[in-house]
Amino acid sequence: MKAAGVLMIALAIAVAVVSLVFNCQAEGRSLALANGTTVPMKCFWSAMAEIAVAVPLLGVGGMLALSQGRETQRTLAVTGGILGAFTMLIPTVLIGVCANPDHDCNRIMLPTTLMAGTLIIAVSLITLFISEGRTEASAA
Amino acid sequence: MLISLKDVVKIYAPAKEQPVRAINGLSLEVPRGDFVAILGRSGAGKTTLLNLMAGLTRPTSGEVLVESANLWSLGDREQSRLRNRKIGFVFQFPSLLPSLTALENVALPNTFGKRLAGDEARVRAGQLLEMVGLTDKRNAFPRHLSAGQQQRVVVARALMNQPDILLADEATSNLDEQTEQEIMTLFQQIHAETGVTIVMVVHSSYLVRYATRSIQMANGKILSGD
Amino acid sequence: MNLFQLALRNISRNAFRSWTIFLCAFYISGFALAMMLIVHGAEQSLDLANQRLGADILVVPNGSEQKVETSLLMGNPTNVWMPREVVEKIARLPEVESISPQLYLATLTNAACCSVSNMFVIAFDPQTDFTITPWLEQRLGRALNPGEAIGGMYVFTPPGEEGIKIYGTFVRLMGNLEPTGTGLDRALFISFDTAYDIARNSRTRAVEPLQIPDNSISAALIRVRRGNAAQIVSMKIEQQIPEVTAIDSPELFLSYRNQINGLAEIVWMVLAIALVLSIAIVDLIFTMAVNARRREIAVLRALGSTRRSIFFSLLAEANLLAFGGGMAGLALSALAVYLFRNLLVSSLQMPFLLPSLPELVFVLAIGILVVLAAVSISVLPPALAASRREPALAMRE
Ligand SMILES: Nc1ncnc2c1ncn2[C@@H]1O[C@H](COP(=O)(O)OP(=O)(O)OP(=O)(O)O)[C@@H](O)[C@H]1O
Ligand SMILES: [Mg+2]
Repeated sequence: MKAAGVLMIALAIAVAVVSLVFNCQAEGRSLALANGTTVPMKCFWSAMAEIAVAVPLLGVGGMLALSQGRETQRTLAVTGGILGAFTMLIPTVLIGVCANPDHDCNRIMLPTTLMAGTLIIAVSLITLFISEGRTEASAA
Repeated sequence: MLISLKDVVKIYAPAKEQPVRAINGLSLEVPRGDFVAILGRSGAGKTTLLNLMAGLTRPTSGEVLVESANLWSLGDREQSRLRNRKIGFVFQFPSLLPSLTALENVALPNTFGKRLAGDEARVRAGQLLEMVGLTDKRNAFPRHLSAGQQQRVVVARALMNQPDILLADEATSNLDEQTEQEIMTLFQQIHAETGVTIVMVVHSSYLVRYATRSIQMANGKILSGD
Repeated sequence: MNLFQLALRNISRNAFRSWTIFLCAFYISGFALAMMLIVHGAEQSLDLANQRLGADILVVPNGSEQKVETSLLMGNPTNVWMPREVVEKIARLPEVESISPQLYLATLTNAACCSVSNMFVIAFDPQTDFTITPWLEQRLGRALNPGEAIGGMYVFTPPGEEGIKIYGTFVRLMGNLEPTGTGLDRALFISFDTAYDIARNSRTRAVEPLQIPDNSISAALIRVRRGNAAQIVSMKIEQQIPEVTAIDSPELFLSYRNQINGLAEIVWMVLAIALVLSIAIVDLIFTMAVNARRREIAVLRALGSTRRSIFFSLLAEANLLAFGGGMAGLALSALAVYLFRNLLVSSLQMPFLLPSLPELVFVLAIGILVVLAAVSISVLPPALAASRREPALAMRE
């Protein structure tokens, strides 16, 4: 389970870093309102939410890397999978990103988070599958 | 006659070395139901003889017949089938498959012959493990078994397909006296109960008492036999 | 327990051997698919762009062919002009069936986030156009009115606004064209009238006015009369009007095609080398693994396994691993190419179009078959040797 934990940590870091760097706010772009004030755009809020998901994911990955008990591993895998699903849902369904296909949030942040989310869910499922198989073998 | 060897010669000719006449014009007949013990010094050709009987090596000249069928006039399929159905083998070295449990190892010969359905095979393998006294180890992997336990699993495996012939090569040489005695008694018991023909290489003469007949070998020939 | 399960158990036993085969299959198939998608996607996209223009010959001012091709493919606006009378001169040629002029314009660059910035605008002449008009007739059932526009795939109206603002004038987006994977997906199509209106109004409404030089056009699209070779006609045009360059359609985007072909060549070479290397590595590792299992194989033979089944179970083991690795590699690379397609386009500076689903499935199937064939070739010698070895010899270490 060490490998799964390390992989999850790496993916969480990737999500956080990409969100931090490639949101339009970081590029200095923002929405100018009619009254002259500027507000951050959708992609910025998505990026903040991604970071908020990546931090607990980092913890889950660390615990998974160190965990021994099968029950713990299973719980961690499920938690990781749910966080992975959120990683994918935030920039697509829940908040979204800018509409312009040329922006970095669209070119880099969105695909990275989707890719990482897919991999996180895959890692969680494999972890679940393996720990399930192990208990079966040891019980038989 | 169950097994007969006629003027068999086996010469090993390894590259860059002197050829070795491991079996040197040997003839032997083993009738059904015998328990033959083979004695001889290291290098006498005992293992080679057993391998010849099972068709695991081809004689340089002479004939090996099992139930009057010449082993080397059969194709690979028929030969393998004969080994699978008629011959059980206990090797000189650890021979359990490490990736399979004790029960799976015992059931393995059924895989190649497919006489029994999966469930029946497991039941039979379980019975054999019970016979060798290892019911509680059925799901253990070989690395978790002692040498004596491993050897008993091997004996159970050799009996899986109800063979006519059991070939055993120094089955007890790595074991302590107590365990050796247990295993030899097991062979005796199997012989008495199933009537299987046993040809067994033994490493010392005091083991001959378990057999019904003994043969002394030297330099690829039979020195004496009764 | 059957031979297949036996193979599965053996896979989990020799982790090093298993991972090597798995990863080789993973990398090769993943890399091959990604490259294949990129190269094929670029080619297809060029063909579609050509089809979209629907012209046999593209006439542009001398020396601007590279610029125009780049803007058509990558969507960055360009500013090239030639005298309008060129159109009449070419129309007089007997080989020319129809000719239609176009204006290439650009929107302002400082557009806010989340609306289209620095957009490539193509103005066409509704009287002669044969590129957009057929599509309009089919979808809209009429021509564009002044102030209306058609967009490429990625053009959209900013949320909450009634139209796209170009130099202070709103144009209404009436529909989107199908994707081509090129800059045309980011282009906005308007009629000449609309373009001149915008230019006139921009003097009062925009910070920076839109300049369209009098009596000038940017390019002209030509259809050749049946039975005439586009190549010959374009040569004739260049002879008669020295200030323009005529590109016949096979030559259009030629520099891009060459670039793609060059890339494809390198990619195939790298792949071939990687494949050969992998075959060698897998062969070596499998030989080692089989040697370590000599005794075990001899035992299986003694228990009644035939040579054939030894051979096939070794082959099955390797193929199972390669199948797993290949599938994982293909899935991951397809996903990555799909997700990062926009980044790919902008960083490679190449047009790109995703394949259709049947095409993708076909390519995936071919990929898996190649991986399985390669792994079979590499484990064939050791598997054959292991199954042929005399059991009695194999038992002695
Ligand atoms: N593959 C081989 N290549 C060369 N020589 C061999 C080979 N197998 C056996 N021999 C030789 O043949 C002779 C008989 O060997 P074999 O293994 O039958 O002896 P053994 O009686 O079983 O001895 P041990 O009691 O040590 O097991 C020996 O001299 C041995 O060195
Ligand atoms: Mg020996």
